[in-house]
Amino acid sequence: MESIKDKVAIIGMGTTKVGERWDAGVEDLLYEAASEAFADAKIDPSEIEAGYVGGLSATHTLNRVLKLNYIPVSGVENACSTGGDVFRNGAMAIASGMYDIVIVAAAGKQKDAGTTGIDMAGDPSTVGMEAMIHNGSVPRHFALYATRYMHHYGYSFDELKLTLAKIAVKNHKNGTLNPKAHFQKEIKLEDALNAPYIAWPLGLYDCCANIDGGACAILASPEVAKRYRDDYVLVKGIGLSSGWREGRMSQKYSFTMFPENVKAAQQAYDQAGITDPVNELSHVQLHDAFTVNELVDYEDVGIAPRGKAPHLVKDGYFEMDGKIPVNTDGGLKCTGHPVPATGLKQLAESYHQVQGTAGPRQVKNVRYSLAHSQGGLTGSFSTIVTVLGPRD
Amino acid sequence: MNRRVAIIGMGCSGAGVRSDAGQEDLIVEAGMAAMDDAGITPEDINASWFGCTSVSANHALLNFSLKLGYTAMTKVQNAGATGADALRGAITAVASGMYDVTLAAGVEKPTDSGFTEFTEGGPVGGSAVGADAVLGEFRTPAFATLYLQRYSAVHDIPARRIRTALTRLTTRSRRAGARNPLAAFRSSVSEDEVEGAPVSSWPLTVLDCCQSLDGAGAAIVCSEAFAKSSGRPYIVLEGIGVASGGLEGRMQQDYDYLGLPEARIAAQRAYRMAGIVRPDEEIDHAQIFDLTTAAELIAYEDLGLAAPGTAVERVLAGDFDLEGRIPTNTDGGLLCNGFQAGASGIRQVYESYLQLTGRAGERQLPNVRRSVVYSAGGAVGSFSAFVQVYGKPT
Repeated sequence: MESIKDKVAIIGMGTTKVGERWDAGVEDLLYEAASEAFADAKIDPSEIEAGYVGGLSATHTLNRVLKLNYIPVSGVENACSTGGDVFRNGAMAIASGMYDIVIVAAAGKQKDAGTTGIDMAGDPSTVGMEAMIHNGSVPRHFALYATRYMHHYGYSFDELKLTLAKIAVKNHKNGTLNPKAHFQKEIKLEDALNAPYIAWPLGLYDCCANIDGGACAILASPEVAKRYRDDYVLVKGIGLSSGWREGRMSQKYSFTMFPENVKAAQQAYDQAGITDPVNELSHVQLHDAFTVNELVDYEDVGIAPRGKAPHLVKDGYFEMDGKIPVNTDGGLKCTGHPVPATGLKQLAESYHQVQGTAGPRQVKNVRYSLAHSQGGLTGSFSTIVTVLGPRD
Repeated sequence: MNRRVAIIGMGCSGAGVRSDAGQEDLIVEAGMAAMDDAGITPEDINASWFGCTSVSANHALLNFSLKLGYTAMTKVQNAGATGADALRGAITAVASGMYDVTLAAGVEKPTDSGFTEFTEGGPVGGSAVGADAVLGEFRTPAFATLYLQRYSAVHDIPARRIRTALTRLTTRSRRAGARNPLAAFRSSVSEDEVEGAPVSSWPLTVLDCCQSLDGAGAAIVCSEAFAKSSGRPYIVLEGIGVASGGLEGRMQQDYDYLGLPEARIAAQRAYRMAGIVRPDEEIDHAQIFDLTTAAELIAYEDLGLAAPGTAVERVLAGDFDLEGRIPTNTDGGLLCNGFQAGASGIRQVYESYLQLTGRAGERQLPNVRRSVVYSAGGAVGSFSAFVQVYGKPT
């Protein structure tokens, strides 16, 4: 197996305003995101050779909306990491040498789907452990990790609750700097601590909102990228790990980490040649569908020692001016979670940070940025970790 | 492509009304057969692509059923060509160098869902207008007959003659299916039976139309270097072409209805990659996506196996018979194997794989050096067409 490092360039990205987009259908969101990406890349759509798309019931929608007639289009689905996998498949298409320029795009209209609230995932036919874990809401799945984390590492309820609140406050603060975010207002620690419970110990501000939005990237081979811009961004590594329900079958499953995250990050680091993520990553985007998700992710991707992440959170380690700023765009917490598009939206922030075009959110001297995307439920997550970096 | 890609193992479940098996069982049936065939175990697989149109069948289904551990898994979606797209995902990934050994697998259990017959293709909610609304109300066989009527008018071929050609295709596929132990329909039918069967959409009878049935297929896709080092029989991908329509057929007055632009373009792309100039002379075997025999008839021209306006003549001359110049659908086609959106594209390649490796049993053809496989999904103006050319190791 060969690394994908430096074989794929991003020459443009676009994201829509995320939120309750009653003004737009899926087609409109695709168009909005793609138009921004085309403008960013200064490319004419007719130059695009293939497409990968997520979140659409029919793949031909991409060609219809963007008038990309007769290019090959594949539909990709990978739960909440669909956007990340659309990107991964597009990147491999470039690396395969079959195409020079590829579009990857996804859009989600969660408000129309009726799943903005907390749907009860579950299959009435399941039995035993499977039924216990599966037949519950998504927040409840993640609450299991919070309670077990407390127990395993000996944190009190107050300590954990404060840690999670600080993550929510941080992401809300970052969100005020992002004009495309769904929520653009700061919250106080007390707001998070005293919010109504969704699934104990997770409260309202520990959970992101499923909402409408789209995102798009234009990928090219590095040779072709040079024709479009000097500041293209390179893919340094991509890892994907998909669970096989171990968490539902093994008594030893710890509920203090996500094995898929660890494996996906390791694959990405191996490809990128990263051995010391703490000192080699300048910026990180984590899939904070829940604050506890972000907490555990710090440790899974190796930017916090096991069991120690709450101390780092307390010290402001992951804040905008901290050692490794995390979720500078406001994270899923504030930008929202347009399910199929989220992974691409995460990558868009990494892209802009590496390129130096993140505006008021720009982190100084960014070299490598990591974007993490996690879909699925206990024991069967699909995690994609992508590392982006500058050319040369 | 940066690397040559090979298929080193394949397996398919039996097709039919599989009330004895769930999705997981069918995946195990096909997946284990493919791994055994390739001489590998689940630990050898780096990544997989999974085709299944059932929403509830997520990535965990494949990794769970085949005990693939924590390996990368992508679910693909491309209407009737979903299985072909799963194969394309694996092919692209191997060509990119990211992975050496991958799995493409697909499964469908339509008999559980109630969609064993063709559903209406129209947009939900009645929002379509104009030509889109007219076409959207049609069932799949009705789509196909639009092409036949146009074909008859433009090429001045009597409907009766076209009907005779369709009958030839149906009887040939059924004869082939009778020799395929994995097929759902394993009996020959007579010409009178075909033409005397109830009409589904004139001039097609129910025997000209395939049925949505349960089944799975799996392929181990790897680098040619890996295949070579294994010392096992394998086939190599010589060309792949894909094209997806953007509803042009529903928006343009000059859409010709004599073929699928998507299929023509996909074929051109595949042939260019394979270095094929005269497909009708350079291809020895074809697997053609025959949701209906009408679709198959038209595809011969789209794929360049018959010149425009000559498909009926070529069929009646026996070119595509089992003993013909380019034996086609020698596994019985979709007509005998049923249609599984997530698996048909893979099951079609299985026959090419068997023919090229000389293991097709009593269906084995004498001289197969190159086989073309055509799969498609979608509807008028918005098809996704996949054309793959496979050959023997060099």
